[in-house]
Amino acid sequence: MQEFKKNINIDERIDLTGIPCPNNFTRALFKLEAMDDGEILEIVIDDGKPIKKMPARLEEEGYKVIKKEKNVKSWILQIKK
Amino acid sequence: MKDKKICKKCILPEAKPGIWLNDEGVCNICITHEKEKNFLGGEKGALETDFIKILEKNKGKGEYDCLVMCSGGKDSTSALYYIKERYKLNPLAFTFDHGFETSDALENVHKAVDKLGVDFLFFKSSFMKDMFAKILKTGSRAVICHLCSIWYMDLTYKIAAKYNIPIIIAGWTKGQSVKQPVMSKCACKSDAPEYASMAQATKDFIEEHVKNDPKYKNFPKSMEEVLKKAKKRHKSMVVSPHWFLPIDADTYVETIKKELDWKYPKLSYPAKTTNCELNFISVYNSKKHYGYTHYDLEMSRLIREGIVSREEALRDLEINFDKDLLNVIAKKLGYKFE
Repeated sequence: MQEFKKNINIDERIDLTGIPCPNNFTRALFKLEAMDDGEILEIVIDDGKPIKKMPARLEEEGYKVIKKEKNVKSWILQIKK
Repeated sequence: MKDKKICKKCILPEAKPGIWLNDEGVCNICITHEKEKNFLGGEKGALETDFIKILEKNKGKGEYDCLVMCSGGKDSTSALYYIKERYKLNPLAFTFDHGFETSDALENVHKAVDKLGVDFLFFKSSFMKDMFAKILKTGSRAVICHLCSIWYMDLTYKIAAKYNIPIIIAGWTKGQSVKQPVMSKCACKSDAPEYASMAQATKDFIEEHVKNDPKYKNFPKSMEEVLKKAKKRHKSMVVSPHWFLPIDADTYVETIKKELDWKYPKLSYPAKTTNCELNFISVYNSKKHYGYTHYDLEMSRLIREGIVSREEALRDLEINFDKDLLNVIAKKLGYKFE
């Protein structure tokens, strides 16, 4: 059976590169609070501490990280509310 | 206290290991700030449209849309004003008094809630008095405001839970520390180098004097504990409209003066603020133990963000009270400054 990859609709995007922890996390949470259930937020964060900490912290808050992709010196995360 | 070298860009004095100046006379906090971008300002900052969306999503869910912490100062009184008049919410205003709130501040709160026609909860308690007295009597370096903020945030969360309120509104400005889900102006940014010594002293005081006192057996050991307990109890987030409002302090002060008959207190530190009487003692102690106070830290942040000038900050932070005033206040705690 052939599997078709669905294109994910991104509802909101924010670039959090250059913003240190915990402010990048706060900013993402704030945006997620403003979104509706089921919507997808895409964020760009720095390599290092942000990528090590944020996915787990977002999951702890009840959000689902559905994509994690390296992009040179930054990371793209897609988060489902 | 002898004169210390202060940062040429902000106003922080050298206080190693947390705060140090480089060869050009610029502090490490300013140097770090240059490298990092701002959370609240600029195009990457949180927007008022997101703030409005959050308010709208939670509007009408319960008896009250939000709980507004109102001290009677310009920032919290204007927060209450904008919540009611700009964002059209139904707030419950909340003021606590540990026995050291000033009549000027309480008068401002009463006028605001009357003129706005909002429900108001006033909580007065002497619960913290023994703890404050112990700080003075033991000569502890703990910061009174830090312990107080642990107490009042715990209280605020409990009230939000009791009335099933999803949003807590604070009047914190951009200079005050931020951290999700609570953004406490005093206790939370303990991981930042400039707050480290104060945070450690408060932690040590709790460890040594609070934990073993039967009266305070249920007192949270840290702000982190407050947040952890609050999260289990009830989901609520703390936000300040001042992080999003496109209105500067001079404008909102004029607005509340006109609309709510708000007045500056007769005496306050820093100038043009509203704080409780114990604040004078807290400032005196911090100057003595650290050479600076948390207001220097807040003000230096505002300077870095271009919200106030260095000259304005230096003027507002000039000590405007003496030991006689301290002793009038300290007497209530059974203490005398020599």
